[in-house]
Amino acid sequence: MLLEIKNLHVRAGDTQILKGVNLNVEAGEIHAIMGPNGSGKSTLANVVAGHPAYEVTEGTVRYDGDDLLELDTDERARDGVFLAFQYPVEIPGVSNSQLMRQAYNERRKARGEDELDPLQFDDYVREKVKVVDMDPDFLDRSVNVDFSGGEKKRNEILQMAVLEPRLALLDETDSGLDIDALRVVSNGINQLAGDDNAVVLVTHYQRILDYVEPDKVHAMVDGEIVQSGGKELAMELEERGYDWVAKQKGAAQ
Amino acid sequence: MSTAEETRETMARHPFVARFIDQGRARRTSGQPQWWADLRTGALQKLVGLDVPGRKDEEWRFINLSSLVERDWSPQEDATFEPTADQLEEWRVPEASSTTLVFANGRYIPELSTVADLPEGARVTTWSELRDAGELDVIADYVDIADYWEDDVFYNLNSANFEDGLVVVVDRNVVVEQPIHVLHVADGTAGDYAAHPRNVIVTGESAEVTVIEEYATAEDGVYFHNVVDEVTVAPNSKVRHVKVQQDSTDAFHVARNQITIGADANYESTAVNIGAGLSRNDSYALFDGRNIECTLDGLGFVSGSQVTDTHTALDHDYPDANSYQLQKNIVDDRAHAVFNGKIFVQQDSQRIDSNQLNQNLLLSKRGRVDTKPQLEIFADDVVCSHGATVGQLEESHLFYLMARGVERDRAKALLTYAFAAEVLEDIVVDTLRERLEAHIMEQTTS
Repeated sequence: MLLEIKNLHVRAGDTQILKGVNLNVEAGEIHAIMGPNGSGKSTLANVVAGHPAYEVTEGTVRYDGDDLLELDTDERARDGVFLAFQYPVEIPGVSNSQLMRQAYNERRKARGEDELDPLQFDDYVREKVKVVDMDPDFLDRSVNVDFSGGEKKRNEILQMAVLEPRLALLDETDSGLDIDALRVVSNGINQLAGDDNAVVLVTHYQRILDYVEPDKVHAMVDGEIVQSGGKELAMELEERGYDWVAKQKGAAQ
Repeated sequence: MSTAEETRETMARHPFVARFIDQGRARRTSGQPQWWADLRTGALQKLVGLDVPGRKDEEWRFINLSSLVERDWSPQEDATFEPTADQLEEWRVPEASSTTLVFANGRYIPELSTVADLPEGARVTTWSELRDAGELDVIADYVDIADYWEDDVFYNLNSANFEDGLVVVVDRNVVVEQPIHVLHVADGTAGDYAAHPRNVIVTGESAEVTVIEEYATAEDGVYFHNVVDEVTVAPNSKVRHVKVQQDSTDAFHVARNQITIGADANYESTAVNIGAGLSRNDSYALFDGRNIECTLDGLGFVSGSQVTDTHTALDHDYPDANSYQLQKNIVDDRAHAVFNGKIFVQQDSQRIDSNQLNQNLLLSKRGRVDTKPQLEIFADDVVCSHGATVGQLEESHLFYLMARGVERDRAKALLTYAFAAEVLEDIVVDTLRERLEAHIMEQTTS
């Protein structure tokens, strides 16, 4: 099992956000977690990545068999956990290539591989830039500074392509994208997805699932996964909203 | 009152000033042209009536000078330092390999200096060399030219005591491609000495030159650099001026920079203050003609109990000028950074565009920042913007970098470096810029 979440309870300040999430993700799978605003789906992605604003009050998260909650954010990243941010931050003065080279070399070191020098990295990253159809000039610009919303999301996918994570968590990466950008982002996800890694898409909209074929779809309501199924569940959620799954859950209890 | 009585009174009131008066009076006058002798005599007379500034003085209210003025300073001649070539290696700037002048504890060291490959009409030398050659008159018109410093104690201490310093004179239409590097290296173990470097930079019309003025420490210790720079930028010429102050954190550094800019000329300076326990860097730029561009940028990076204080004054005396100021300070531990930026726009100086920004990054809870813009505008068709910010590293930035696998300390260093980079990136001498960038990274990581 690549990711195994059991009975996860999470709090931010005084607010209980996750109330017992269970989720199993095998290598080679693509999962989609859908839910209305405030359901806790972004929190789930952030907790797995190690965001300091959240406190785990109960439950476990195991990554490749190890206790993930024991690790700091940066250690998780070096072990292959990647979070594509819903709102990528702008960092003036740090160039995109500088950040990615640093990040990539950290990942290589963790895998026992040699670091790449700036020239070697440049060759490597230029291949990846083609995947996301970005102007190579973006490499020399400060991270996300003066990028449009779509460019920021592409930049997250570029970083994912560079880092080749084992577990990619995409936090609403598809939100706010036009169809061209959505295709680029989907293409990046499909290129990454393979037998050894897994992708968890946190999304509000069913549309991306026309381009990225999920193995499993989960409906999240009020801090719990209330129903899981295949792609057809996404269609049903899109058509019928989330109330009916919440009610079904209530009836079952 | 007789001179002797006045001096006794100064001695009682301000032994700091009196001691320098004594030292100035004892200095040799041989080889001095009359104008230099007059400058010294005038400054000595002036000093008798000047007070050491205290916190009640608006210009000095944020810093405490007591540790400087309560010490008995010896003249630099009592604290000689003979550096080896190896000792200087880390500060060598390859781009300036043929134009480097070395001063050690204030004294010019010709054996370690190189001045070669200059175009005809460019002169790079020192006061002492010009005196020995009997040619000091080439700079007579460019020394002590501004009233602005008339009542400034430190300026007058320098005028009364200086013996040497850099001289750059670039004739009309001459472009000096390689940067000129003046390296003041200090051995702080040689005794509590005061040095008064007097640097003179003069261009002719349409000339161009880049000067790197650097203060470095070979051995930590207590000393006092009391610098005066006088830069005269002729019409349509361009001067780039990079100052790097890395004096010992036990030392004191005070600098008065007079910049006089002619019409259509361009002066760009970047002052980096990293060293000294207490540094005070004041610049006064007089816009002496139309259509001038002037940039006064600065970076202060202080930790421990260091204090760095930067004062600038841009005096727009003619119409149609653009001026830019970006002062960034990074403050760690219990350190303290001060910025005071004055912008004067005189009546009839229309169409002035002046931009001033002071940004401060606090890396600790106990650090302190004081910032004060001061605009005095007497013309109506002007655009003057000014702003000041004080902030800390953003947690959201740290989390983003850590989520990419960068360790927390490394992420902090990267963000601190990024804050400084905006100032450093304008330094056109590549190896110097890279050395400073590496220094910032290293300092933040340790």
